[in-house]
Amino acid sequence: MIRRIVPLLLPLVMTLAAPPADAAERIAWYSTLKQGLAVAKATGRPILLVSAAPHCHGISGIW
Amino acid sequence: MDRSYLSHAGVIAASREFVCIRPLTYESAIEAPFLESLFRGRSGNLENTVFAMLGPDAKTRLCRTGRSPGFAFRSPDQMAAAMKQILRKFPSTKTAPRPLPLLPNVRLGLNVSSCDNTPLAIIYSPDQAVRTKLQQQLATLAWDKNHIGQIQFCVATRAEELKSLAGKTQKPGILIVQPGTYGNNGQLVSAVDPDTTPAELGDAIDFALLVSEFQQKTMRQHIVRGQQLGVNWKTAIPVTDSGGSRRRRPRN
Repeated sequence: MIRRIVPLLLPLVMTLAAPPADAAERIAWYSTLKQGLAVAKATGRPILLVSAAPHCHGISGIW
Repeated sequence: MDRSYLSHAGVIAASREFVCIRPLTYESAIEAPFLESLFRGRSGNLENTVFAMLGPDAKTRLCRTGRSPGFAFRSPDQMAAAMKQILRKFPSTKTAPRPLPLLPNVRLGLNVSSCDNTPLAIIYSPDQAVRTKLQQQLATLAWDKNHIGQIQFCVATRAEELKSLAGKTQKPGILIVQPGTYGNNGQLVSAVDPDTTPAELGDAIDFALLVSEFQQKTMRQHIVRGQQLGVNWKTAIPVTDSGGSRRRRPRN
């Protein structure tokens, strides 16, 4: 059962249903080599790898 | 890194047939040697970013590796075309279910989802069997066309892991969180119990996607404000890309 964190808003918002239409398409990433490489091996699919640090000058929240 | 490559429609379309991996640089001593084996900067050290396209064996290099896609391709269009060409060499024959892509922990989950401006779904239960069941449910949803790439995922087994979250987070289940601007905290947006149905889970995720609000970040303002607020992200291993820091150091 959904815990209604915002009980008054939820029914209203859910009438809109589905993700927002303007949600930009994004690449779906595995975040660990262990998981990603295992999937590549199991599926025989090529790998797109881009490593990145989730901080800049010690400030988190930005690539 | 020139992100225009990774947000290009052709690159994203082709990526659906690749296994896309984004390791977190300087967050794993185990992963660092592999990244260094792919690319080292002029200093000989691991740089902030590494780019590669590899065969399924993770050894065969399918293009020039470097710091970013720009090392291998002149334009996003060229990268998309190269990805399509690579896919012809790897026809899809095996059909294995794709597991839920998981971030290593809640701390990194909040940070990465903040970087990406997406909600974070935390699978929270001390019970392994419950976590496995919830992961399987979420995996189906994570890879469907309406949700792919739109939300991050991680696991928590203890209540202490949730201490940086605001809202009622004590009950096991799936907690969907809007990360803070600096990814060091988060606000609970919606949640479902462990015995949830797929439909209820989908509603909770869609609700979070609808109500989460993210500000567009600009590098300089984000860094200056973060410094004023005392934000100080600690990496798991030392940062060795001092050249990149010098080039992009903001003026105070």
